[in-house]
Amino acid sequence: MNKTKLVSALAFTGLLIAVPFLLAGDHLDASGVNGTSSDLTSFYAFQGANTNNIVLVANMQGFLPSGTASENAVFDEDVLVEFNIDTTGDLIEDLVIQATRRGDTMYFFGPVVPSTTGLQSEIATFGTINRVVISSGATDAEAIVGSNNGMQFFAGARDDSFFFDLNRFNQVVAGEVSGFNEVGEDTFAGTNVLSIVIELPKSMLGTGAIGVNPQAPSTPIFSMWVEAKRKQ
Amino acid sequence: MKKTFYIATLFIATLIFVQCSEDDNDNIIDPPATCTDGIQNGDETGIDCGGSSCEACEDAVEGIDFSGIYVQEDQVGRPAISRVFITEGLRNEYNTTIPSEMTAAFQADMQANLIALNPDYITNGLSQDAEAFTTLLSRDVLWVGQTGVTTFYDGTNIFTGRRLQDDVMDFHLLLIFGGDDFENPNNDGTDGQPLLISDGVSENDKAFLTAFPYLASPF
Repeated sequence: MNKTKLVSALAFTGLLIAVPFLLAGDHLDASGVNGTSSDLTSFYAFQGANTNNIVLVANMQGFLPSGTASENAVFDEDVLVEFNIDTTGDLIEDLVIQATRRGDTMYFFGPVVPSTTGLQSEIATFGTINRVVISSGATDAEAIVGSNNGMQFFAGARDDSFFFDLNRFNQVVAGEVSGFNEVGEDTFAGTNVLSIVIELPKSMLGTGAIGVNPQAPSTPIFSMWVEAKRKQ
Repeated sequence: MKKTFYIATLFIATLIFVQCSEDDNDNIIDPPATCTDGIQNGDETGIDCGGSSCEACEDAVEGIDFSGIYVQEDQVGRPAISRVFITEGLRNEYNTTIPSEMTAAFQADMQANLIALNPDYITNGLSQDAEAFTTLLSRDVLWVGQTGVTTFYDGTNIFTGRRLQDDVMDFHLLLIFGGDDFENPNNDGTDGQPLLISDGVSENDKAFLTAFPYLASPF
């Protein structure tokens, strides 16, 4: 083992020891999924650069160390990531978009009306199927983007987009300090996640429901959430 | 009768001919590199499929096993809900409860944890008392506007989405600790009060992209 490898091995060991003491927004949020391949860390949904589109982002497997993300973390072939979209405001999914890895490729199913709603799912192979090769490069130029029928797809390691002084928050909750610092430290700086990004025309999701958000009662709203499900 | 037989024969022959021509497409031994580059290019009708050179799109998932039942282990709607508002021993149950059943199962626990975080909580800047606030949060879905600005909070719009750059934790802290006036919040670090409405981290450590896939490249 040369010196560089020894140093990185030591650094990685140190990080592994440190990880159990870090508790996150939704990172490592519950013992049943902590540090597993189904641990979701963040969900984002926003209007795309093309304002006719909506962008969905699911991040998982947080606190991946710098430079080694693709070696230390891979999308689990037994895990299905499911974006749930309620278009009527009853908190029941009307459409889903599913993503799961096979080999070097992420496959995407939908948006499609699921065969069943709730805690158990089957993969909707009867719907629209798309795919993208999972990116392993570390630069933006190396990001592999798939596109089809106005939809775009990405899967691979990315910088963790979540930012928060989690260590200080834990100290505040524990009563060790009275408040935050004016300039905090981003506990998630320099760490990676595995990301799945989908951009699609809003028209594929329908019109949304009026009166769902009391702060924007006339805005048609989609209610969305992401689930990680494991093959039994 | 004879004529019918001829027509039937012709029809079957046509079917065989069509079948053969499809098989010819599938018999390409060495598809060009564009059929495996992960993007739709050339005359492909999907990503790496269809058109004159690549295998037909309907074959894209043939031979790959997508069968089986997948059972839920984790979920996320709004940011940091389970971490901040759900008692640790209940989080696995929370992660495997469907949104329409969350309020009945967890609102009381969330209200207790809100008051534990801020014993002085009366109402937030949305005029919600502890029960109203935690009832909203207990329906843990992200609301996303079909029209207009999509943001968790940008100073004007509230709960219409979540952009990468949104300082969602500061907004959570403002709702928990800031009292009923966003313009003149409590716990802002002045007048002898602690700073509880902001963690002092207002942006990501790496700039986001303006175009797909939007997230910054990995370290």
